[in-house]
Amino acid sequence: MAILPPPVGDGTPPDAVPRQEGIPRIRPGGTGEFLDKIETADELMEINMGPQHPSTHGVLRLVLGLDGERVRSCRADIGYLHTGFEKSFESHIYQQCIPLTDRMDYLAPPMNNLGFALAAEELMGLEIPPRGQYIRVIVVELSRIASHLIWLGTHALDLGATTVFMYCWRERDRILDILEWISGVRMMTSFIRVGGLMADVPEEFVPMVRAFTADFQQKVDEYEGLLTANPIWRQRTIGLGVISAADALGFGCSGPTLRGSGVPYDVRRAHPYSSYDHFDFDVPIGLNGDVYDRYLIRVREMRESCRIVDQAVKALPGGPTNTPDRKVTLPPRSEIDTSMESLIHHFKLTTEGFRPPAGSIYHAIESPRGELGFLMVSDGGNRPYRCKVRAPSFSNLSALHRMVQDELVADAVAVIGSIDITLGDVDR
Amino acid sequence: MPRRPRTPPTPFEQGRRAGQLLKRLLPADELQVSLERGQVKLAIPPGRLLESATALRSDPSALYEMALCMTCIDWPERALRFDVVYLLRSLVHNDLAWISVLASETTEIPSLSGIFPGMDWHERECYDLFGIRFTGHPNLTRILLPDDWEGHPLRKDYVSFGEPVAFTHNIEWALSAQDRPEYLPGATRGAVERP
Repeated sequence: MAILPPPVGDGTPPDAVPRQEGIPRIRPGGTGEFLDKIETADELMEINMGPQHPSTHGVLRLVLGLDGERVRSCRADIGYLHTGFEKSFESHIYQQCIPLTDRMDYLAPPMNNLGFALAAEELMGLEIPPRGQYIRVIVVELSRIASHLIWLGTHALDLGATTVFMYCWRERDRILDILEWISGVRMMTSFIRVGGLMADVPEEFVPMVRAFTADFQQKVDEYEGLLTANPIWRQRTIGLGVISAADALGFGCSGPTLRGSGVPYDVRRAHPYSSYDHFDFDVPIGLNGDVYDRYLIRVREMRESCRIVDQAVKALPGGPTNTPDRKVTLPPRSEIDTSMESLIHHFKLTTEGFRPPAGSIYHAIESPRGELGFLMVSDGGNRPYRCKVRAPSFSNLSALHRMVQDELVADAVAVIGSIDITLGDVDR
Repeated sequence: MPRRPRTPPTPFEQGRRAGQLLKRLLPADELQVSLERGQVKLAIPPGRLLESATALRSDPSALYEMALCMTCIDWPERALRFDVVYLLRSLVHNDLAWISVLASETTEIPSLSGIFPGMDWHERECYDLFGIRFTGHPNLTRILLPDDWEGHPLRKDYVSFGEPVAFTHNIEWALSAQDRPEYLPGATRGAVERP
C-alpha cells in the first residue's frame, strides 16, 4: 500500500479488531431452512428495501426481517432488469451479440465483450495477434479501474462520504474520454469483437493512456487519504459483513468478495488469457472477509490494474490487431475496391457471419466483480445455439443474506455496497 | 519489462480429476466420459448426482468446492431433451469439472443446494427459464421472471418474438395460434416458422 493507515483509537491494527461478541453470524443449515424461518416468524417486522432505494445500486428489492434494528432475515428479490439476453443471443449472429453483452455489466462493458469474444474464439480455435491482445488488456484494465471508481464513489456516498464520489468521477471521466477516442462511444463501446478489435487504436491512444497512468497512483492516494485511515470509515466497515472462505466458495462468490475472505483466486492468474501471463501484477487478498477488506482489495486492484496498463502500453507490439482469418474478420476497406474475394468475404460476414464448429466450451475471465464465464454451445450454425452467462454478481448476491445476518439495518447498506453488484449483471 | 516466471500453462485436460474420481465411484455403464477442446465432460444419471457431488466436493483428490454455476442446454429433437450442466471449480487443484445430467421434461433431478448453497439460485433460474424440476429444493420458485409468467422462455420451442400473421394460406394456423399466449409449440428457434 502506498499509504499505510496510521493507528486509530488504541492503535490496534484493523486485522486485530475484535468482532462483536454474542451475535451468531452464521446459522447452521441451508438457505431454505433459513428462508422458511422468516416467513413464519411473527415477531420480525418485514420491511421492503428497494427496488427504488438509492443504495441498492439499481433495481434490487430486499425483504428484510427486522428485530429492532437488527437484520434477522434477508430475502433478495431480483429480476427487475431481466432482459433475456441469453435468449436474444440465440437469434443473433455472433458479432451482433457483442453489443448485447455491453448491456449486461454496464459498468464495465469491455469486460463482457472480451468474455464473449474469447469464448467464441475458443470455439473456433482462433489466436489473436499480440497487438490485439495487448490493446484488449489495456482497454479492459481501464474499464476495471472505471468500474472500481464508480464502486468506490457510490459506496462512499452510501456511507456519507460525498467528496470521494466527486474525485472518482473526475478520473472515471478521463477513462471514458480514452474509450470515446478509440471507439466513438463513451460507455457501450463494443470495441472488442470476435476475431480482434473494432479497429486499431489511433496514434493519440498511447499518449492519452500514459498521461492517465502517470498520475493515477497519486489520485488513488487521494482517495485513500480520505477513507483508509478515516475513523468514521473504519468504524462503519471493519468487522462488518463477514463471510468465511468456505461459505464464499460454497456460494460461488468470486472476485474481491472471495479474495476478501483470503482465497487468492484470480482468473487472470489461475487461467491466464489474452497474454495476462506477460504482465507483472499482484493479487491482493484480505484476512477477515469484511467490508473494509473488500474496500482495501479494490483500491489495491486499481493500483495493480494501473501497473498492468503501464506495462502493456510500454511493451505494445506492432502489427495487426485482428486475426488474419478472413472467414472471421472483415477485410480492410481498401481491399474491397480491388479484390473480388474481399468483397465476397465482406458481404458474407456482414450478412451471414461465421460458423464455428459444433461443440461446447466454458471460458472465464476476471471481471471487476469476479469470474465472468461464458458457456457457449455451437451447433455449427452462425448463431450461438446456447450461451449461458455465468454472472459474478448473481453468485455474489446470493450470499448476501449470510453477510447481513444480525447486522444493523444501516450496515446492510454498507454490505450491499461492498459486494459491488450490477443489477444488469445479476438479471441479464 | 519486469517479468515474473510464467504461470504454468493450464493442464490440457481440465476435469481429469473429476473423471478419475467418478470412475472409482460409479459403475462403468453409468458414467460417460468425453473429451472436447481440453475439457473432460462427464455424463451421469440423475440418481447418482447427489453422491457424485458430495464426493467431488469433499474427496481430497478432487476438492471441487466452488459452485461455479449450473445451467441447461435444450435439444428438443432428443428424447432426453435437456442437458443439465454443472460446473464446479477446484481451487486447490486449479481444475474445472463439467458434469452433465440428461433429463426429459418429467425427470426430477435432486437439488444440490444442500451441498453447495450457491446452487440454490442457479437451480431456481434453471427452473424459471427451462422448467426443470429439482427435488429437495427449499424454495423452487421463479427468480428472474414474474410468478405468473407462462412457459419457460429458454426452451427452444418458446418463441420470444414475432406474432402470427394471417395470410390466405395459413389462416387457420394463424387464428388458432392467436389464442395461445407466447408459448407456441411446434415453432423452432430463430424466426417464427410459418407453414
